[in-house]
Amino acid sequence: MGGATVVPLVSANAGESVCVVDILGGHGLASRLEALGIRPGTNIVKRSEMFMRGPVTVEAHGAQIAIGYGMASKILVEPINSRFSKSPSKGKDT
Amino acid sequence: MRILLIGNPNVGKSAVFSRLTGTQVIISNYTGTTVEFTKGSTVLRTGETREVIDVPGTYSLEPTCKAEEVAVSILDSMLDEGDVIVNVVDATHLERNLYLTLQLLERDIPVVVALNLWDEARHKGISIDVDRLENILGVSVVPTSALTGEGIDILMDRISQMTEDADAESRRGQDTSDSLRGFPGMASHPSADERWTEIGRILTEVQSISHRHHTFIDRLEDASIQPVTGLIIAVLVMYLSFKTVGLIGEGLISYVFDPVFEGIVRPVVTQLGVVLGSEGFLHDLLIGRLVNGQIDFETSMGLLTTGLYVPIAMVLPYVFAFYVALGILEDVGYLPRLAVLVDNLMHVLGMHGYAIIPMVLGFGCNVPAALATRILESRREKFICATMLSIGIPCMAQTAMVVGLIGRYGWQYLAIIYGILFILWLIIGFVLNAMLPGSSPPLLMEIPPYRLPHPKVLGKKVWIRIRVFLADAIPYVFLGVLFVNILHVSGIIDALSRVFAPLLGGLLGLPSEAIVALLMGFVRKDVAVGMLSPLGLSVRELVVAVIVLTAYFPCAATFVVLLRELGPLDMLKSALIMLVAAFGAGALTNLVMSRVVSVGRVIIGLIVMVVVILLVSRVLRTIRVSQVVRTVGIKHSQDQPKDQPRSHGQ
Repeated sequence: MGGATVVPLVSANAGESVCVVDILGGHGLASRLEALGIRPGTNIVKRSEMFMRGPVTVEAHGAQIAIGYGMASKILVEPINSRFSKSPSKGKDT
Repeated sequence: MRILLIGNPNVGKSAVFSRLTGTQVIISNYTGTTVEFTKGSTVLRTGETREVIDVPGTYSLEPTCKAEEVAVSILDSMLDEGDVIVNVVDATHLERNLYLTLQLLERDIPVVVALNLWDEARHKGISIDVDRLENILGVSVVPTSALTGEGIDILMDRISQMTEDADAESRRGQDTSDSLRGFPGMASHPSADERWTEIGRILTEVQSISHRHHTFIDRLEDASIQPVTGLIIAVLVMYLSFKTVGLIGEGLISYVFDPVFEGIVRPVVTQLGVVLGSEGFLHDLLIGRLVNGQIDFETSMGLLTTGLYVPIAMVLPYVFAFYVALGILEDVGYLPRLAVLVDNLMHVLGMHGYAIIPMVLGFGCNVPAALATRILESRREKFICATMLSIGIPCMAQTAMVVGLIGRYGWQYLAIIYGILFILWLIIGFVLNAMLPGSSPPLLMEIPPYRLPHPKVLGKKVWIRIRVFLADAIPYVFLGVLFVNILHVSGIIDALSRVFAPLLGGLLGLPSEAIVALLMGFVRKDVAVGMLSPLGLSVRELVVAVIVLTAYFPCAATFVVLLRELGPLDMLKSALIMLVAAFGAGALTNLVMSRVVSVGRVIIGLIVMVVVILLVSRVLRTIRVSQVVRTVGIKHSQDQPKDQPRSHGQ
């Protein structure tokens, strides 16, 4: 649901808080991101993106992570209300 | 019976290691500082000595990339009955760090958790209920700040206690007590989802974060990864680094080392020269040949004159200055941000942005840089990086000599040398990326927060690196000077000069005696550059010689590391590329500088060459892909071939 607002991470605006909906691509990519704490259901903040399809930097659980453009275009996110963006531990509830 | 330090990258494992063992290791503020395990030993409270192992960082025990595979395989192969694991955890990123902790606890091995960066967590308004966390995890949790030493004593107590328990265990046999037993609230093999759910639950119980306003450092962190401000900051950082290195280096030479050598060393060796009779083999070996009846520290080529002056008074000041600047950049945490900034460029050269780190290290010394290529994922990336490094990045020792030798003719000649090396570096990367099958892997890395460098840690790091430099440099320089003297006395030099005269004279426009310097370059580049000075070369010849010297082959120490990292076959390929690149660039520079060929023509020629190589590689790739498609098409149904070409695209 809410399919209309789901966009690849590269298309989200810098400074926007988003929730990861899905990670496309193989198991390898998903598990590498997962090890860094980025998985479906995680709230992240997109901090910046470098020009000419450069890396996207996000903040996840208080840590900044740079993600190459190709990878970032395989991460589908949904913008969330900015109110809930700044508390890293609130992303998951049981 | 060992103590293994395990944790996520850049959580301070090496800092804890150096606190526990007293061993001095290099600590920086970015992931991948430790690429192989480091061993040390510590004395427990019981008086026993135990081996401590600092394992490279990993986010997970199920490795997701090459660097993590190394860490996990070290853990798997080393972990023995009775070993104790110290899981170093970043208290400021507890949530992500706990993933590895849970995996460790599932393995049913004795674990102590060091909640490191405790002071920073406090500053950030993060408070963690340590007792509660201990209860939930069922193991000791000790808050520590390894940089300041806070909590290390208590950590030591707990480790001692744990090893005693573990010893008692192994004597008693299987029955594991509750304190050592794995994490109580968990299934034996939980899925990743279950782990993350569990972590979420733990966090709500133990961690609370008070809201904090954005600080100046936060803004600076943001600014340095935004496109426009990021570039401005990068240029500023580079400029300041160059200025600092130049200022410190020159200052040390003119105010400290030159006065010492002129005032103390010169009278002593002059006296010694007189005692030795002012000539003969021993005199030439120790003092060298006199220039106008005087000792010339740069060109006399005696062990006690040039052999001391080159490494200590010409090279050391710049090496020191460089390591101070590099240390500050490392500890602040700037380098990973530079990697984000240059990621695009590096992809064109066949690597991702993180490859800039070995390159930056290479300007200091190519040896640690060659080791640092391990942070790169694929063999392809490592090969490209190592080759580019060897060709285009002169180490600080060599740079210092080049500045000393050529700087007096004007900065434009330095600009020519470094400009040509940079272009060569770009071309090599570009061409290798086009020709080698495969593509560059994407960037994925954690960017550390900016931190103020800790003066003590910085000082220690500079000292470790200077010590390594001195230990390597002085013996090699002595060996080199000895070698040259033997060559001279035995007459081998004349024979070699005659053999190589066509190559040197015809291709590079160099006098045949320059072969000595080129031979020396296999051993040490700084001495090699120094050996150009007594030959009385023109500026054009000096520029050509320095370019060839930089690019044609790594020095002995770097070669040994590269051989190990790349393997003999790839090293051979890499060496061939180096030779072609070096002599090609040297010959072109010679032609342009002696005004045989105009710069414009060379540029056009290079562009044509690169385009031709690109076209050829495109054609080769298409052939390769169509072959793959055909074979796959024969083996499988038609579904398969559609996917094939995609993996070859960028």
